[in-house]
Amino acid sequence: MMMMDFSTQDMPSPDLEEAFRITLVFGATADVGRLATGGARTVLPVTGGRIDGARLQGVIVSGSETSLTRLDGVTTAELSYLIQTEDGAIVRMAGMGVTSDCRGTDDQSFDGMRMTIMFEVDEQSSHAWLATRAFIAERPRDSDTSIIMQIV
Amino acid sequence: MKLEFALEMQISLGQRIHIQVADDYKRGAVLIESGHFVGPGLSGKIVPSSGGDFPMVRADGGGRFESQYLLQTDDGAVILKRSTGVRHAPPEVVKQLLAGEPVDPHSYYMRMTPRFEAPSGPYDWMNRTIFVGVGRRNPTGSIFRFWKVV
Repeated sequence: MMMMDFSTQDMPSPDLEEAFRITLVFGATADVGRLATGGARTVLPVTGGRIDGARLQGVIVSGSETSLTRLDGVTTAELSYLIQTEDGAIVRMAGMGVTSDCRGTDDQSFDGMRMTIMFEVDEQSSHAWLATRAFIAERPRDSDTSIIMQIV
Repeated sequence: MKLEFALEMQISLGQRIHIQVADDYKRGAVLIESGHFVGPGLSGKIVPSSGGDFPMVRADGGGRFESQYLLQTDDGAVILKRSTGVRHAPPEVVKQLLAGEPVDPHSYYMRMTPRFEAPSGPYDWMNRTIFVGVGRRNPTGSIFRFWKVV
């Protein structure tokens, strides 16, 4: 295949920098069941946890991971966590996740959930910068800790 | 996690509309007229008039992107692309961007995290993959480059 000539295009190239680690405590899984609109719906409540990084430290107040698993084995999830920072601010962290079950296959790629993450925060707060950047994260299967990388 | 180049898109923009939802909340609509994409193992066209970008634009010009449109590969697969993203720029750069003037793409932060819904077959890996993108807005169009997270 012919590739375009990129040489004249002055574009930034993104990179990833580790920003935080978040460890979650989960409550009991609630299965909604198999939906008429396709997929099996599961809700995993988040009851606690911690987030730590150079620019943010806090506890997880509440949250949930709401998953839809399709017959092709791909699970997509809507994530939402409420954080109370050590200086008392409330920050909402939300995103989308995707998990692919590659156990028992030749696929040696990552086994777990990868996520895209954005933050909501009071624009006057010292944490306002969080809302001006996009993040991705990953959490290995059966782990409770995600590594969150800032897209730079 | 590391990034591996996946595709580049060149898009011609059509009509632009703004909805002033509230004093502090403006929804934009930038409709995509046409476009094409190419990357390792895939190439094709944007399905004309299949959608656009619907950014939430703040008074200071920062904002969040929400876009949705269809891709059609040269071998006939139709793929839905939906994306969220962030733009953050110094006020003077925002003025230039909103005025449609050419702006140094290194002078602002514009990053997207698209997701794709692809049919089963050679592109179904896109359903299981997350992506990171950067964009460059030109007066008449946009260039996006996307990397997959591996």
